[in-house]
Amino acid sequence: MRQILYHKTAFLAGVVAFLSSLLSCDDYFEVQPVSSFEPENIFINVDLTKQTILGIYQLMTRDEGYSKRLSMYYGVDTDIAMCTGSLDNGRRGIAKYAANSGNEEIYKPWTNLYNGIERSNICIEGISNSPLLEGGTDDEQFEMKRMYGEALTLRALHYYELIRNWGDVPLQLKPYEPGDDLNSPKTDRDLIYEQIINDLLLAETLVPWRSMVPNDERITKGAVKGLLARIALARGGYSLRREGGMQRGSNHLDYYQIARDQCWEIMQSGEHALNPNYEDLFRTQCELKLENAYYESICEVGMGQSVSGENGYYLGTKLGDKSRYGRGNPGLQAIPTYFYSFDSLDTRRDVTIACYEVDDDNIRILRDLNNINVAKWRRDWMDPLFPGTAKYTGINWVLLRYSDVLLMFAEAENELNSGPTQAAIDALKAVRERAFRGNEDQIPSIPSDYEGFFSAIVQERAWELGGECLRKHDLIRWNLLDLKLDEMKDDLRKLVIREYPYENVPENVVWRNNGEQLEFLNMYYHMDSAAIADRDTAYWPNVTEWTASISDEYINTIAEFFQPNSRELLPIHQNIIDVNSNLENDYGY
Amino acid sequence: MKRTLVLTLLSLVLCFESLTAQKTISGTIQDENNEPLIGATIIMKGTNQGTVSDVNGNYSIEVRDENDILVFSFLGYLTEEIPVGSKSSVNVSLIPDFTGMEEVVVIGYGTIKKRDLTAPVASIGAEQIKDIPLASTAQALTGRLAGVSVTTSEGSPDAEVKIRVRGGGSITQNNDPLYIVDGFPVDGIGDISPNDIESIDVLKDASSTAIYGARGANGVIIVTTKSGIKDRISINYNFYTGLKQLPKKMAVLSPEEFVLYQYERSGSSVPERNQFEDIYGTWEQMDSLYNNISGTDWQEEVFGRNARTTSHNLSIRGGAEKFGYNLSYTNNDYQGIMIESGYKRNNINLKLNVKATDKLSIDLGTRYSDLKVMGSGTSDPGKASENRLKHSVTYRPIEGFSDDPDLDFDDNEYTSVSGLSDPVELTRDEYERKHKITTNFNGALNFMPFEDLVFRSDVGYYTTQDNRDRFYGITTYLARRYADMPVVKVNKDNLNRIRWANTLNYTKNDLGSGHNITVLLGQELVNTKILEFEQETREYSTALTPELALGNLELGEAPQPADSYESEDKLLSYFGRLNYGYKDKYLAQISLRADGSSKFRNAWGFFPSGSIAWRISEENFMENVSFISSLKLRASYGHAGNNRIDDLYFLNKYESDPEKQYFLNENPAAYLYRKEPFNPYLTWETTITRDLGLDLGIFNQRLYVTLDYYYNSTKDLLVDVPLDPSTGYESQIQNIGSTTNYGFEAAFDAYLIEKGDFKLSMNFNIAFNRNRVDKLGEDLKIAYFTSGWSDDTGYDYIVRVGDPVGLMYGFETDGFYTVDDFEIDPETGEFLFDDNGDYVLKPDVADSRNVLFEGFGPGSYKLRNLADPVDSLGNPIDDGNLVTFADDRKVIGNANPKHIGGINIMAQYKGFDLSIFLNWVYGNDIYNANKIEFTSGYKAYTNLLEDMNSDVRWMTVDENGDEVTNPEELAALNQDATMWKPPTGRYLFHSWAVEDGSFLRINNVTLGYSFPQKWLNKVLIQNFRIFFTINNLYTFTNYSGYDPEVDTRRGTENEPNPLTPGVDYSAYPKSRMFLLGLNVTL
Repeated sequence: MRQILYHKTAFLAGVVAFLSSLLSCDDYFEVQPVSSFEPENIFINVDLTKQTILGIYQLMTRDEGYSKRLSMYYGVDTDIAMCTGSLDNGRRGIAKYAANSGNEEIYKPWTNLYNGIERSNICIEGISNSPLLEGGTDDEQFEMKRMYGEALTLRALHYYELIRNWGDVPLQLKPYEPGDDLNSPKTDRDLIYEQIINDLLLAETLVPWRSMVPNDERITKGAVKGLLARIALARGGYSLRREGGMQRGSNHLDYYQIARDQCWEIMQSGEHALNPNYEDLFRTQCELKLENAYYESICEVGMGQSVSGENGYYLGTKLGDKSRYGRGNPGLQAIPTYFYSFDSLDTRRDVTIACYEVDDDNIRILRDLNNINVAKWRRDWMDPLFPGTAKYTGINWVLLRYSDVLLMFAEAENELNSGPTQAAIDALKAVRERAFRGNEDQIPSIPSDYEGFFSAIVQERAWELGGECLRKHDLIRWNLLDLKLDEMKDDLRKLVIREYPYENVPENVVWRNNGEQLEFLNMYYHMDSAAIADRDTAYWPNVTEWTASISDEYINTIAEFFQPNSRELLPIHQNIIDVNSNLENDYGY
Repeated sequence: MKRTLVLTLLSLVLCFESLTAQKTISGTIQDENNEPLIGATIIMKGTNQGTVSDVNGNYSIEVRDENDILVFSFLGYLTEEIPVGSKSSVNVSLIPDFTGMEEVVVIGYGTIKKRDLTAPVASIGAEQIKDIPLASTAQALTGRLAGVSVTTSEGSPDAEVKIRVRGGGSITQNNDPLYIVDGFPVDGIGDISPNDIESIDVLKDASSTAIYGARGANGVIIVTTKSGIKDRISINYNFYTGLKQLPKKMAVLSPEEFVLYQYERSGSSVPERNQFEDIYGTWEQMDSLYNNISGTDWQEEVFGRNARTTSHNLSIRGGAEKFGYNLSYTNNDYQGIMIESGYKRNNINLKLNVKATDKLSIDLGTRYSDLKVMGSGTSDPGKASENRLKHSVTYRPIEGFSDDPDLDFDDNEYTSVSGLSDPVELTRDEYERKHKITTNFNGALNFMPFEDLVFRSDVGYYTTQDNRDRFYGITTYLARRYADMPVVKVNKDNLNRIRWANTLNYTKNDLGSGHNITVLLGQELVNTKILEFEQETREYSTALTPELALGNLELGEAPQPADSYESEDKLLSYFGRLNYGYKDKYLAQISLRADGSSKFRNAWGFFPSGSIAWRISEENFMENVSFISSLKLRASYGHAGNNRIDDLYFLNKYESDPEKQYFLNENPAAYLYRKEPFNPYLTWETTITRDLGLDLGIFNQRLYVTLDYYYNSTKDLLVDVPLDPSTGYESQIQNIGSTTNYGFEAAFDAYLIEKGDFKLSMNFNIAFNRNRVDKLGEDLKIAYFTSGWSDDTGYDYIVRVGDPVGLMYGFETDGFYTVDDFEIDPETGEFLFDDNGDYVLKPDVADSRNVLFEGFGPGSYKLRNLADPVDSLGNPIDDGNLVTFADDRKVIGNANPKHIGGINIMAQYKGFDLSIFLNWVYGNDIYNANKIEFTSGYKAYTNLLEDMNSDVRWMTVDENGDEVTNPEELAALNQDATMWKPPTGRYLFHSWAVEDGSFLRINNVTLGYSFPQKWLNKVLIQNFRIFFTINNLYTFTNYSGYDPEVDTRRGTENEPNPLTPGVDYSAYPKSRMFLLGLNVTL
């Protein structure tokens, strides 16, 4: 019996010893992650750091970034362009200034922008703590500094998008850490402006000029400076304030000075110039090429075909699904009066606006005047062509062009000197001369007084940058949105009855196809109905409604629910307010 | 003859050890019906000498002397002991054992006699399901166990089955129970052949699941497959074949009604009316063209077929004294009722038990399953555009008149206007094949150094290979997005799991004066590795068939970046359990488990539990209460955990994605980013269960009742808390919040009649569960969730502190707007319009126009204005009867049933057996999203449900086809209308779409006939039975959709979403099945 007990005890002891030997491996739970990286391994390596920077850029190509929403939905309706269709609780609600806090199109862009800010914050912190920033090889230091500047610039750009669309928003400058308070209140936009303007002033010392690095879709010094100028002008301009109404930013001339200086440095650098051919600039982009002679396009968002970018599809020409070009399904239209505001010699009109559509047999058809499109990027300009119904053309979104820099410079000079300097006049002239290529001597005279020059800038930016979805926020910073919308509607009513200055605009346009192309009998002059009836109908078979297509209802629906001092900003989505009790909607939402 | 030979041989083996035989006893063993029992065991008590009865129930055995006692036993019968005495012939009639009291129940890492249970455990044995042809193991569970709710989400051949034990405590994490098959933790039981099941035991409370520690919180389902049997050989063949059919269609508008509605709809604009007339003709032509013509019944085309179903199962089971074996092969081949869909499964199950020496035995088991599923079904976790049922319901029933070839409205044009594709073509184009191979090897060594001590070491390996190949032909949504060319997606997922468990079991039954103890000590190690791979390639030539494209992935012009993922999950555990019994009256059990998991930074968690039981019937004072044969009172308390979150969530880590890479010079650039706001403080979700139970047997166990009351609270809930995205993240998993589930369960087993040739028995179970959210977060009282079937609905589920999970949130329907709701110009008698050209409502009428968006006017459905909005100080702002998303939605439905249950009736008369199984769910609501979409005229030329027939709906054209705009005429035209006009705006969730989901289903009726033994004996067959079965014979319900047992918005496999239950959207319809089959035993 004792023997058995002894054996039992020995056996038990053996088993227990065996089992507890398993426990001793404390690192048993150390699972080596193989499908992820820990941050301490990232920012000590240039390649991994670059992939983390690309993680910020990547967000900009999403639908809620510059593939569609931020770039297209958020830029209309204005005096030059509008969104098609009737009111809904999505993009049309935004375009018609009727967005409420349940609007489907306002949650994701906000989320995406803050995603980008978080990713930028991670890079900013990671790179600033990286031993490579100061201690790496020359090449490593160059790369790390460049990326540090890129992260600062992208964060600033994201905050600028938030401010111009939502006003005061939460400010996050550090990446998330466990234990953080996750419910931030709104920060006054001027504080955010101060931060991002300082960040950009630092970034422009870190990022190289275009010519120092291979040509691609990453940010270079010209872009930093140009965006800084744009942001400084917004800071110095008007915006809708929580305290009530549209107010100009304080010390606005200080910011115009920053804008002026930054633009001037770009102009002096010789890095960027105007492409002498306006159309060529956009066609090159539609061919999915980076223009490498003039570098007029200073900053582009790198879209990928079939992956991102609805440029040329949602913003572009209407194209039949079965046409050789593939589907174009534009959602943005040009306002008829905008079309007629162009000088007939201005080469920009027919680049900015397309009056035609293409049917399934590749034949061009004239669209009604109330249905013409803003179309600087067109699928039918792509080379190679991209047939089919896919919507992601891969055409890049252009964030900043050199002509914008020239016009910002001219505007700032005018403001700082209470009238245009010669340099300002030269800058404006350069833009106009390119536009009137071949007829440079015909450019309209440039006013030399403050008011006149300012008005010329307001008009020139519409012509030069139309369809690039900058107009709405330009008008807001000038506090001209209400006025310009009213003017536009008055003009449209004149257009309907063909009153001065529209007396020569035809009610109906007679046209024919020459092959696939269009030929007009009377695009720019009026023919009465009798004359139209008398035409050689065999030769001129087609009649399209022109001013006759514009109804009161059409005019009413443009920016239908805009209210000055209230709808210049968007509401914050209800889901966000539900979660963050420190946030609320202001501005009467 | 052969059979006799086998039996004789076996007898010889058994008698091998017999020594000095002095006397021979012979006799016949019969069952209660005086049929011979074949293979019954006869043993001389106290020895291991014995024999078995032959095909006529006869036996003969040699005994030593008159003092010997013969022990007669047979599976399912009470064992009988008869002293030999002076007899030379002993005939025995064994009495069937329907008591179940000696039934053995599998609990974690061991078994226990049912009579000794101290915890609520529900079991199904092979006996209960052997006569019913089951398509899946989950089906075996449906409705049969109290407190175990089984919802088959839809009707597709591989539909997901949601199993919940007592409600499930988690809010956002997976509420699936832990599945253990033959000791091994697996990810599901869909790959087990029901024929291989020996028993299924469900551990319902933490006093029993705590032994599974961090994984036991949602209950544990233990499946034991058949092992070898001693001293016999049994060859079984089971077969059935049959048909499946669609039991119910959704009635849609007839062609005539369809055209009438399209005519009416096109009235809003001249071009649309012109287009209508081009396609369908003018009003004047309509009568002659469409009166009484029949269109295509697309539901019939897609779901109307008689789907074939066959199943074969062959098993050889047997053994001798030193070893046992079971080898089983099952082949199932099912067609789905939807064209192109089907399901093929092959299972092989092999188990061996070898007794190497007296002290050492070895168990080996292999399970192999090969499952192929064809067809992509109808549902998708994505949005409306990715779901497919709508095509079959609302595709145009007729093409229109196209005498003029120029006016042809071809398929492409139709598709671009209506968003619908020819459902037959689309089904063919949505090619999908899934192939899952599961292999499981288990080996265990049992070492018994002493009689009362067993050391067991268990090693297992489990691997699944899951391939999912999809091909999207040109009519599909995806192909349309990418150059109108086919797209291919290939997923390959691989899981490998290794388990090593060591246990030490010490049992002492006679510690003196009635004390019994069993001690279990154990250690377990489970290591799981996951590998996932995904590749999408676009732009295949339309010349390629799906098979060719999948066989030549490289032929696609546009390959997308591949996506791979690997992760590892480790679990190390120590556990112990002590069972104590005193004089069979007082029972107690305590257990403790320590679990270390790699999912948490603080790896260790401890899960204690305890339970006690009092077998009152063993007390002396109960001796006189003769009708009570057993009575036991149980009470238990325990902790169990839930660790089902993504691996390494606590780690600050950066990941990559192939989605939307940035393009530098047209080349995609890979990127890294931090996906989640990591949370190093995460710990287990802990469920604390309390259970009070009563087991009662009456009239010699002819009626057996189990009653349980439980109260479970779950704390430290792992909640995916929504964040303000300005943090950079939309949500974070936090240990926040708690829930309670409490309820009552009752199960009755009754052997009602047992008279001669007639037997009738019945099982009945019912369960009431109530769920409540006690806490969501520090400040969070309400959280909103979306089922996601449409973007338009916004949040349509709400989780509120104090309420159950599964509340549906939407507008309240208030009929429709009539002419009286609008201002009328007193001078003209016509409607008044405002500056925007909109109708003007009377001041006190709720104004739904802002949420309806399009087509607002008389006949639009009306939503109730519930409340005024409040400003930041909480003061109401009068919004003038305006119905808004912000203020006018409320809880309009509750997906939780009041009770669920099942009734199983089994009858036997001579060779006939009949089983009827019914189950029910009562008091739950269903969110019928189909109905919202299929009654909407959001897009032109889509068909509608019959609810929108012209004799009931609000009309805007009169019998002459003229638009009626005059208020008086419009009111007269619609005086009998009971339904609004089809909305043309967004899809809103309003209370009209909430329906009572209660049902009582005649789930299964099986009639079988077993041929008499005396016939079979001549052909050496032990058992031959034929049967006829109808599955899903009839469902009593008021629900208007296909089937009330539905749950289609569950999130994806990787992101389960338990928060939006009860949505019926685009579900694959369930079928009715007729089967004929046979069972043969040699």
